[in-house]
Amino acid sequence: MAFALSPSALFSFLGSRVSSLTLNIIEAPTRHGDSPSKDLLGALLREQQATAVERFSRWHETEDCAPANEHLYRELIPLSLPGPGEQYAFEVDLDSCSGCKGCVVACHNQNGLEPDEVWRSVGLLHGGSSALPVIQHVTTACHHCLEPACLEGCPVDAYEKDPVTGIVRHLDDQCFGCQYCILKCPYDVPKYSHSKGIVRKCDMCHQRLAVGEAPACVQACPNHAIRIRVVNLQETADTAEANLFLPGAPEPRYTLPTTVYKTKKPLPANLLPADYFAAAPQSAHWPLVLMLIFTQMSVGAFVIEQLLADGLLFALGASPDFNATTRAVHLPAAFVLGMTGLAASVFHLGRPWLAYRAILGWRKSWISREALAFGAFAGLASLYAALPLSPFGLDLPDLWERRLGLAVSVSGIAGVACSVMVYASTRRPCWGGGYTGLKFGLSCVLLGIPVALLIEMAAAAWSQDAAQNDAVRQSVSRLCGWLVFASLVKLSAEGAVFAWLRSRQMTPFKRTALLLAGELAPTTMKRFLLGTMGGVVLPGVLWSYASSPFDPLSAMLAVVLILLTLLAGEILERQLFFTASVAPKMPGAPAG
Amino acid sequence: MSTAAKKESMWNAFPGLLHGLARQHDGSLTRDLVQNPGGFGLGQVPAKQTPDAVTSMVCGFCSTGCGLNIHLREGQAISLTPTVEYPVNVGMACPKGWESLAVLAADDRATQPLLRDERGRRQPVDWPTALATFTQRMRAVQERHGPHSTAFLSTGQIATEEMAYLGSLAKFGMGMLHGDGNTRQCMATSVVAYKQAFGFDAPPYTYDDFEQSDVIVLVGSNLCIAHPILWQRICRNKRQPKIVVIDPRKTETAMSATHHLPLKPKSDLTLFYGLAHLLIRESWTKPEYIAAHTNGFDEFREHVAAFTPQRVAAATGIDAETLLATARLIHEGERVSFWWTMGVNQSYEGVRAAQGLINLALMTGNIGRPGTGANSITGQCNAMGSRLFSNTTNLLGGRDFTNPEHRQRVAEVLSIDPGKIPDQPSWAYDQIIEGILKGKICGLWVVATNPAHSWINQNMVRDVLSRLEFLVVQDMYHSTETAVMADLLLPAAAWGEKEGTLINSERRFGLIKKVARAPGQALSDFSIFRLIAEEWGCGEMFRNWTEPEAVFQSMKELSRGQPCDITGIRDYLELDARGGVQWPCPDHAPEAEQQRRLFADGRFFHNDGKARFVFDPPAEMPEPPNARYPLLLLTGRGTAAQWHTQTRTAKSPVLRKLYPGGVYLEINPADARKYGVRPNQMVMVESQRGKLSAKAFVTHSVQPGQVFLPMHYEPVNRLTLAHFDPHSRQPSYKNCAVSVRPAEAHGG
Repeated sequence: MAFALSPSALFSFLGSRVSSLTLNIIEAPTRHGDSPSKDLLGALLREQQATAVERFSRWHETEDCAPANEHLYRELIPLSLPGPGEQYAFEVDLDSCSGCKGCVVACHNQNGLEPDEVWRSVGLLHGGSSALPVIQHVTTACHHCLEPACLEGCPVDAYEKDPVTGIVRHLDDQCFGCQYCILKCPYDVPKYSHSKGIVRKCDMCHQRLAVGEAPACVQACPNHAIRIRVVNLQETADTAEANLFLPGAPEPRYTLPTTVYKTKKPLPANLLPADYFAAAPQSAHWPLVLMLIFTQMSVGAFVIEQLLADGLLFALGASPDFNATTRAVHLPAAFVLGMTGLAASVFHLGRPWLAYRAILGWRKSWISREALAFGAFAGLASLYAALPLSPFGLDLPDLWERRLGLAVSVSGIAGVACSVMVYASTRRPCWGGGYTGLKFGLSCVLLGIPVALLIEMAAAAWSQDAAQNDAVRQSVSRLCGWLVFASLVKLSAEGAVFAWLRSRQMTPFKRTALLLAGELAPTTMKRFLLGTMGGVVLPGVLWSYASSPFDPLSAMLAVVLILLTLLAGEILERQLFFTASVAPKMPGAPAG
Repeated sequence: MSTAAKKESMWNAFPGLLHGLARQHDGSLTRDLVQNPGGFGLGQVPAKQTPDAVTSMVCGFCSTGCGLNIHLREGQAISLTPTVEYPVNVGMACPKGWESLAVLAADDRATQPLLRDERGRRQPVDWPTALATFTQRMRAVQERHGPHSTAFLSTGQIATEEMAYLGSLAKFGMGMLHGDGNTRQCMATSVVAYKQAFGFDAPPYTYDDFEQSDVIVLVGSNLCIAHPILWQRICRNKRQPKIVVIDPRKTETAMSATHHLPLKPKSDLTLFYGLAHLLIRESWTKPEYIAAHTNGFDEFREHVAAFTPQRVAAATGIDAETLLATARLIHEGERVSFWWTMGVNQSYEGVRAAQGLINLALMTGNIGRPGTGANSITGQCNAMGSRLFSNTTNLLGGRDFTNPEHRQRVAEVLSIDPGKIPDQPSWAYDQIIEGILKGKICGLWVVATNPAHSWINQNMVRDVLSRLEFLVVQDMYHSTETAVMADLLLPAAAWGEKEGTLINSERRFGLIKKVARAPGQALSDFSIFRLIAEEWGCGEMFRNWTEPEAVFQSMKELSRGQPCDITGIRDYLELDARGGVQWPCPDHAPEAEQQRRLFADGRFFHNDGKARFVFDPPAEMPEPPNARYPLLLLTGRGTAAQWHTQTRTAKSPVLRKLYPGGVYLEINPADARKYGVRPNQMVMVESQRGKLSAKAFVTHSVQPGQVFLPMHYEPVNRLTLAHFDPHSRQPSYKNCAVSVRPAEAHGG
C-alpha cells in the first residue's frame, strides 16, 4: 500500500517545479517522463480499480441463517393461509404513512426490477382548510381485486387469480405485450417493459409469502404502515358497493379492490389528489391508431361497395361493364387497406411472434373477439376480393357472391363493433360505447366513401364515355352529400367535448377538453382543419362542380385530395382519441 | 420402447406442444423474477442477484448515517439492503439509501480530467497534465496576487480522512488561508450555538433519545421527509410521546404531530423567549440545575421578562393559550427533547434561535438524561466530519487557529513546522465569495459541492465564480452546475468506490468501504489529494498518509484530550465490528455502550464546566413582503427521494419517479385566488434578484401570504436573498419577498 518516493527522485521533481516557477508563465504544462508522481499515479489508478472488502467480511460470514429482520415483520403478515371465502390483501395504515416512499424503492430493489420499473407508488391527498390543513400520503400497489379488470381484458389469459391466496399473478411468459391490461386497470398497476416486450406487476411477493417472509414493501416501511392481512371476500365486495375505498381513488365497484386503507383521523370531505388538476397526455399507441383507421377504412369501403352494388344507396346508372371494372379495383383495394390495418396492429405487440395467442381469451376479452372478428373478415374478404380478379373466371352464382359480400360486411362491422367494445369496456368516460361507436362508425363512412369516389372517378376518366360520366357525376354528388353530412356529424360530436371547458367540475371529459385545448392544441387544430377541408369544403366544391359535366381528371385530383386530407384528419382524430383520453388512477403526487 | 409406444408418446406430446405454444407458465421471463434465499440473513433475494458475500457500511447521503448491507459478487456490489443490526436505522432505509448504488452508474460520471481550452471548450486531458495545470495555475495566481488569493470550498459529502487531507494540504502544504465547507449552508449555526453554550461543538444526544422522550419538540424540521429514518425512531417510541412541531408549514411531520404551532416565519426566537418567560412565570424551571450547571440565567430572566404572552402572540401568531399549553407540556414532560434542523439553522438569527432551544433545555434540566437534550439534527452525511476535521473554520480536531498551543499540538502530531499553520481562521463561505468579487480570491478549488446551484442569490454567485482566474472543480459528475463552469475538472470516485469514515448527527463514526469500481480514470478524493501534494512538492509533509486509515490514526492523535476524543477506536476493523462508535471514545475507557449521550454528569466544556445562557433581542427580517413583492418565499426539502442539488438523486430513474420533474410552487388557495392563479397553472415567481417559472400547487399546507419552493430545483436560488447569521455566517434561505403571477396562458 505504501508508495515510498526515493529522495533523489523527489528532489529532482521539486527542482523542476522550482525552475518552472521562477519563469512564472502560464502555458500548456509540459510533463517529464520520470516524474515520481507518475509511478504513484499508476499505482493509484490500479488500486482504484480493485475493491477491498475482504478484510471486513469476517463479520458477515454466516451464510445460512434466518432473515435478520424477521422479528420486525413477523406481526405484519398472517399466520395462516386464507380460508374459503377469504384472500390476502394489503392493508395500509394511512396514519403511519409519512410519505418517505421507501416502499417503492425497496419493492424495486428486492424484486430485481428493471432500472426504471416500479410496482408501487405513493400519491398525495390534500384538503381541509387553511386553519386545519390536511395532507395525506397514500402508498399503493396492485389491489389484487376480486374482479380484476386486467385478467378480464387479457386476450392471452396471462393473468391468474390464485384460488387460495387471491393474489392476481401475471404470467410473464404467456404475455405477448399488447398492454391492454394497462388500459383496463383503473389503478394504473400493470407496467410495460419496452426491453422485455411484456407487462409486469406486483405479485404481492408471493414467493416471499410462501416461505413466511413479508413482501418487500411490508419489510421496508420504516413505520410499519403496510401489512398483509386476510380479508373476507363478501366484506370486500360490500365495502366496494358502499364506495368506501379511498377518497380520490377510482370508484371500486368496477373491480372490487381488496386493499384496505384505514385511518383513525377523520379525513375532510374536500380531499383531492395532488395531481387532480394535472392532465398529462397519454401514449398515442401509433400501431393501434393505424390499425383502427385502416380496418375502419377497409370495412367502410367494403360496405359502401356492397351498398352501391346492390343499389341500396342509390341506383347507379352505369353499365354492368363499368361496374365490374370498378369492383375489380374496389374490392382488392379495400382488402389491402384492411390488411394494412391488421398488420399495423402486430407492431403494437411487445412480442409479435406470439400474435396467434390473441384469440385465447375469447370468452372474456374484447381484444380476442376483435381478433376473431377481423380474422374472419380477413379470410372472407380475401376470397371476396379475389373473385373479380380470378384468372379462371371463377364464377360463383350471384346469390353466393352476394352472400359472401354480405358476410364480409357483417364480419367487418362486427370487427369494428369489437374495436368499440375494446375501448368501451375500459370504462374510461371519454371512451364510452356510444361516443366511441359514433366515432368509429363514422370513420368507416368518411374513409369508405372517398375510396369509392376515387375508383369511380378513375374509371370514368379511363372510359371517357359521356354516359358513364353523367352517371358518375350523379353518384359523385350524392356521395359528396353523404360525406359532408357524415363529416358535420362527426366533427360536431368531437367538438362537443369542448362544452366541458365551461364546467366548474374537473370531470374526465373536462380533462380531455383541457388537454385538447391545451397541450394537444396544435394537433387538435390540425385535426379539425383537415376534417373540415376533406369532409366539408372539398366535397362541397366537388358537389357544386358535379352539377354540370366536368373534367374527370381534375375531379379525380380533387377526390385524391379529399381522400388524403380525410385520412390524415382521421389519423389525427385517433391519435387524440388515445392521447387525450384520461386514464383513471390512484391519487398521485404534485405535478412539476 | 416399442414403435407403437413411441408413436403413442409422439401423439401425446403433440397436444402438449400445442398447449405449450398456447400456455406458457415458465420461461426466461418468468425466471427473471424468481427469488431464492440470499443467505447472510437477507431472506429471499432475486436469484439473479444472489450474493457471494455481504459487507456493511454507512450510507453517504444524509447525516442520519444508516447502515447498509452491501451485497457482493466477486467483490463488486450488486445490491443492497438496510442493516438490521446497525443501531441507527435498525433495518430500514429511505429511497436515497436504497438507490445509493444506482446513482454511481450514470452517463455523466466524470471519467477523466477536463481542461478548458483557449476556445472555452472542455477537453479531456490525462492526469499528469491535469495535475501540472492545477499546480502551475494555482501557483501563478498565488504569485500574482499573494498566497492567500487561492481558496478552497470543501464539503460534507466526502470522508473525514479526505477532508483532513484537503484541509491540511491546502493550508499547511499549499499556503492557503481561506477555505470553507458547504456545511456552512447547513450546520454552521448549530456549531456556533453549541460552542457558545456548551464550550464545544457537541450535539449531546443519541438517536435512542427519540425513543426515550415524553415530549418531542421539533422546530423547523420536516423529519418525515428530510430524515425518514429518524421519524421511524420516533414511531418506535413506546412512551406515547407528545410531539410538538413548530413550523410555518403543515408538513408531513406537522400532520403526524400531536401539536402543531404554525408560527409566522422567523418568529421562532420570540416564541422561545416567550416560552422561557412562561416557564419562569409559572415557576416551571429547575433552579437547582440552573444554579449548579449554568451561567447567565439571571440576565436571561431579565431579558425574557419583556416577552409577555401578548407580545409573543402578536409576533408569532400563536395565541396566548397555546403558548401556555406548550409551556405546560414542556413542564409536565419528564423527558423533554428539543430538536431542530434547517428551519432554525438557515436563518439570519439562527444561532440565537438554536440557543433559544438550548436555553429551554437548560432551564428545565432537560439535558444529559435519556430522552432529553437540545439537539441539532445535521444535514449531510459527514457534516460533523467537516466540523471537526476539515481544517477550515476550526483547526484539526475542533481546535482554534488563533491559539498557539493548539497550533503547536497539531504541528507535533503531524510532525510539521508550526509556522506552516495559519494563525488566523478562514473566511467563511460568503466572505470567500465576496473576496472573489473584490479580487482578493482569484483561484478556487471546489470539492464535492455545487455552489452554482446551492449558494444563495444564485445569479450573483455565478457571476462571481465566472470572475475567477482559475476554477477547479473536483466532483464525481462532470455535469453539475459548478462543474460546467470549471477551468479544470478533476474526476472523483464516489461513495462506495473508496474508504473512509463519516460522522453522523449523533457523533457516530461509521465506515464507508470500496465496493464498486470507479469509472474510467476517476480517483478517490484521497488519491487526488496525494497526487496534488506530490505535484505541489509538499508530498513529504504527508508521507505517512498513504491510505485513509493512516489519516484516521492521525485523527485519533489529533483528538486526544479533546471532547471528540476517539483514541479508543483501534482501527477500521474495530469500527466495523462495533457497528460504529460515537465520540467521545477515549483510550483505556471502559467498553463504550452503543447509545451514549453527553453531559450526564452536568459538566459542560467551558472551563468552569458550566453551560451558558446566550441570547439577543430578535431582529426583523431584512426583506419582509411589500407592495411589489407581497409574498414570503420559504424554501426547503421537497421529497425524501431528493438530495440537495440533485447531482446524485437525479441519476436514479426510480428516484426520478418519486418527485415532480419540474419546479413547483406551493401556494395557499386564498393567494391563488388573489393573484389569479389556477391549480396546476404555470406561474412566474419573481424576487428583486431573479425569477423562475413553476407549476402552481394550490394547497392549504402553506399559510396565506407565504409560498414554498423545494430547494432541489436549480432556479430556486435565483430568488433568495443573500443575508447571513452574523455569528455563524450561515445563509438565511427561508425568507425573502416574492411576487407570483400567472405565466403566459398555458396548462390546465
